[in-house]
Amino acid sequence: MTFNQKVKYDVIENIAVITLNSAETLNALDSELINDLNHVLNQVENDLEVKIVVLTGKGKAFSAGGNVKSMGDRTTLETIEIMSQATKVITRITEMKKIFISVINGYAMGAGLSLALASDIILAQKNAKFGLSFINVGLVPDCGLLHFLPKIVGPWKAKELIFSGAIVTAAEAYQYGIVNRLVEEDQALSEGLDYAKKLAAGPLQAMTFVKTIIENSQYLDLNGTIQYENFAQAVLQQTTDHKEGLLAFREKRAPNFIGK
Amino acid sequence: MQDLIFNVENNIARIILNRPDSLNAFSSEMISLWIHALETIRDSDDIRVAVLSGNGRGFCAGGDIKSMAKGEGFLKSEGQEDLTSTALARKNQLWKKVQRIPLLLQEIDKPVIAVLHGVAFGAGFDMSLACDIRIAAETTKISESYIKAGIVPGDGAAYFLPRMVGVDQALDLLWTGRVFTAKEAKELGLVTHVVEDHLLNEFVENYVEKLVNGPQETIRFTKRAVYQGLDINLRTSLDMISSAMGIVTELEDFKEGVNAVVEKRKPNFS
Repeated sequence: MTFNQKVKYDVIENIAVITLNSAETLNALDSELINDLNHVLNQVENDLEVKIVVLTGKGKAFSAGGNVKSMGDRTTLETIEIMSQATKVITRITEMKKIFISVINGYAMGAGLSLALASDIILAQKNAKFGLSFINVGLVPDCGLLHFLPKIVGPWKAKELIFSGAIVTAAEAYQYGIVNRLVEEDQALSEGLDYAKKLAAGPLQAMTFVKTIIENSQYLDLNGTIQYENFAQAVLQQTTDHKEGLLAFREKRAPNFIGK
Repeated sequence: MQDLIFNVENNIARIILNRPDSLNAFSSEMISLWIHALETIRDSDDIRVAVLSGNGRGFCAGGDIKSMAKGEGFLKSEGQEDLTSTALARKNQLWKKVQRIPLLLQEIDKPVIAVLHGVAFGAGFDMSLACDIRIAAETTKISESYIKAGIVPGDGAAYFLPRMVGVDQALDLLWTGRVFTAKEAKELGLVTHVVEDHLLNEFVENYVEKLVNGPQETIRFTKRAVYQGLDINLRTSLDMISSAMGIVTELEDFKEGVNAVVEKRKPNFS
C-alpha cells in the first residue's frame, strides 16, 4: 500500500491521533486520502497499546467529503472502486474494538459528515458546519449516512435534512443529538485530547464491550442483547478494573482504573 | 521456517499453514501471519483469488491441544503475554486473535478457496467454513471436536453450521464431536467438492484458474450479493442486484462475454 502523506498519524501513550492533513483540498475524501486512512487504520488496529483514537482535520475543514471535482470524470467502475475503499474506512471504524472520537474542527460536508458519524463520540467547534450536500449534485447520501442519521434524528427529520441539502450549524447539530459536545473555537483538538485522556483513564475493557454490544445489538432482539450483556458481565467480573471499582466504592474514593 | 507461508503469484494468493509436526495446530505466530496475509489479500489489487491449505499430513487441527494441556491456552505461544489467567484473557485469545480471521474473510470480496486434506478438526475446519468454497480430498477426516475438550465452538461454527446444515445437524455434529468423512461432509453441504486424493491439486488449480480468468467485477459483485442475501429481504436484494446489473453491463467484460457466447468461443476477460 502506498502512502501519500494526506493523513498524519501520531500516538501519545495509548491515544492515537489521526489528522486529515490535506488543508488545501479541505481534506476532500479523494482516493489518495482514503488510501492513507485505510493504511493508518491498519496501524491502529494492529497496535494493541492504542485504546482511543481521535480523528480530526487540519485547516478550515474536518472534511469536505467526496471530491466533487473528480466526480464527473469517473467511470462507473472507478466509482464502485473508490466507494468500496471509502466505505471500508466507515465499517472498520464501527467494528474496531477501540473508541473513536471525532473532533470536528470546521466543515464536515457530505461523506465528511458520514465519517464523523462512524465514530463513537463527536465533539464540534462552535463554528463547525455540517452539510447534507449530496442532493445538490443529484446523489444519495453515502458512506453509511443513510444508516447513521435516521438512528440519531429519526427517519422523518433525516429525510427533511437530506431532501433540502441542509447546512446544519454546530448548535443545531448539538440540539439534534448529532454532536455530543460543543467546544470553543480553536480549542477543538485540545478538548478532544482531554476527552480522550478521560476515557483512557476509565475501565477500557468495559467500554470496549459497550461499543461492540451497542453496535451488534442492532441485529439482536432483547433476549440476544441480554445474553450478550450477561456473558460480558461474567467475563468482566475477573478484571482488575472491576475489583478496583468495588474496592474504591467500599473505601469511598475515586477508582484508579488501568484498563485491564 | 515460519508457521505460515504466504505468497502471491499470477494474481493468486496462497496461504499455507505450516506447522506440519503439530498437524498445523494454531500458534500465535501463525495467527499473526494469517491476519497479515488476509489484510494483504483484502488490500491488494493484484490478487484475484486466495487459496488456503495446510502443509504436511493434514489441513489443520485447530487449537493446540498440547498447549491447552499445559494450561497455556488455545495457541502455541512463545511470548510473555497473559493468555489464560482470567476469563477475559482467555476470551481475548479468540476475540483479538483467532476470530479476526473469519471477520477479515468477511471483508474480502475476492473468492477464497479452502483446500482440505488429512485432518480438519475443530477451529481448523471452522476456518474453512469462513471461506467461500471448500474442496476436500476424499480421505479427509473432519470433526467439530470441541466437545471432547469440554469447550464451545469458538471460531464461528455456531454461526456457520446452522446456516449451512440446519439446527439439528449442527447440534448433532457439535454435541457428538464425531469424526466424519469428506463424502459425508459433501452430503451435508459442508464441503463443495470431494476429489480423489491424487487429483486434489490438479482439481484446485483448474478451479482457481477459471476464477482468475473470469470477469473479476462480476465475480466480486456476485459474492457480495450472495452474502448480503443471507441477511436481507427479497425486495432489498432485488433492488441492489438490479443496480449491480446496471453497472456490470457497462463493462468490457460484458461485451466480451456476450460475443464469446455468440461466436461459440472461450471468452477473453480483461
